[in-house]
Amino acid sequence: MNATMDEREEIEALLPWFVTGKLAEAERVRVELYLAEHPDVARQVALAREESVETIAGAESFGVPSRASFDRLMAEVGRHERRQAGLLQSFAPYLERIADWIGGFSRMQLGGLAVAAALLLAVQAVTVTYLLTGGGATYQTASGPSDIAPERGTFALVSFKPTATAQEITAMLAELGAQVVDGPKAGGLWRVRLAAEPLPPADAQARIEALRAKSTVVGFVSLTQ
Amino acid sequence: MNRFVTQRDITGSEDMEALDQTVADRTLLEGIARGERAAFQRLYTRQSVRIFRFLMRLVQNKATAEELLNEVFLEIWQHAARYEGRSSPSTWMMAIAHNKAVSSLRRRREVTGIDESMPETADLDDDPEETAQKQDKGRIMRSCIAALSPDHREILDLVYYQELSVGEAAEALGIPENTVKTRMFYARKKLSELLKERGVDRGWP
Repeated sequence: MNATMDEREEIEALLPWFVTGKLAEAERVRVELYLAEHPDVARQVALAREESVETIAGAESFGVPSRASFDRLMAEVGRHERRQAGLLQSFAPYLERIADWIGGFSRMQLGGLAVAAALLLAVQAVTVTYLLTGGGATYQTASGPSDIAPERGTFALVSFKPTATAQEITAMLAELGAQVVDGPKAGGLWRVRLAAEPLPPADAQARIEALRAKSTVVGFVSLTQ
Repeated sequence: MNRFVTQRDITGSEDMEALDQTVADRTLLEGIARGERAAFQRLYTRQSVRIFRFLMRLVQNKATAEELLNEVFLEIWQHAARYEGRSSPSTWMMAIAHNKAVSSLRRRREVTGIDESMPETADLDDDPEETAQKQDKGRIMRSCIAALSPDHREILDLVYYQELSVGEAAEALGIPENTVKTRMFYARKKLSELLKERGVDRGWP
């Protein structure tokens, strides 16, 4: 008896989608077979259809959005476009330099540069690891490093794909809230500020991964001071 | 011979139409991702009415629904590139609309202190039977649907008006498919109870 009740409840639960024709094929067949064997459930189908009709009628009574609403939306879209254009303009000097710099190389030179950049990053990674793990002798000036005010923030060295356009680079940086602050450096690397404050290692790594994920635009990425 | 004719049987080409619309909307989203205003305006023309009505169902206020509709489309304009094609464009847009509406209802609750997750009691007249005679059943049912909780109004709209499948509704709401089915079941049950209070006994549940 319980099994029968459970099946009936399951079938009843599917009826709204049965009347809208949105059941998966297997479920639709299951409902049809059940209905053929239990004609009394036809009443349930009628109730669901009635609900469907009145829900649609209710929705139609809501009317349509006003023309003024659309005008406000397009005005906001215009403002958004202008903000984006302003952002593009602020990056223009750097982007021109990137474009000029990339444009000045042949395909072979670009290939060579990519290899050089990879080597540079490998050397940098080894050096940073060596220093962080306490290897090698270090020295400190008498006044100590605290006398030098380092530029605040979290930074990365980044190279962009030769195929990336200036617009793509700008959009990508804007999306991640990053800014080019220096470059190009040796190997076609640019210094990019990822955050205005020094981030905890996990957060900084997350920003790096976000940059890496933009693989159509970004070539190499490495955290830097 | 099947006696139970579904909407699928009535409109045999429905699946093909839905596919065409999905492809068209995807193409428009690609155009929007490239910053094409014409694509944006076409998508608005195609989708704004049904999204607006969904928002109206939830927030029950035209000015708020229009404001949220614009928020939805502004998000589409800014982030069309994030559409990955895992769901249909209409389901993706409905999910954005759902999130905007939920946030709006939450803000309203914080400001007014009125918890709209609790269904209102439909306006009861002194004599329910007499009321049922006076008013047509359809009007009473629409009034009872409006008196349901936002969750229940929403699921009825998604299933009956937006015609989302169980899977699509689950995707739009960010809940499991079984929860979609049970939420729909309880929405219909509550609707029947409200109708009964208004003198319309449907004999179910």
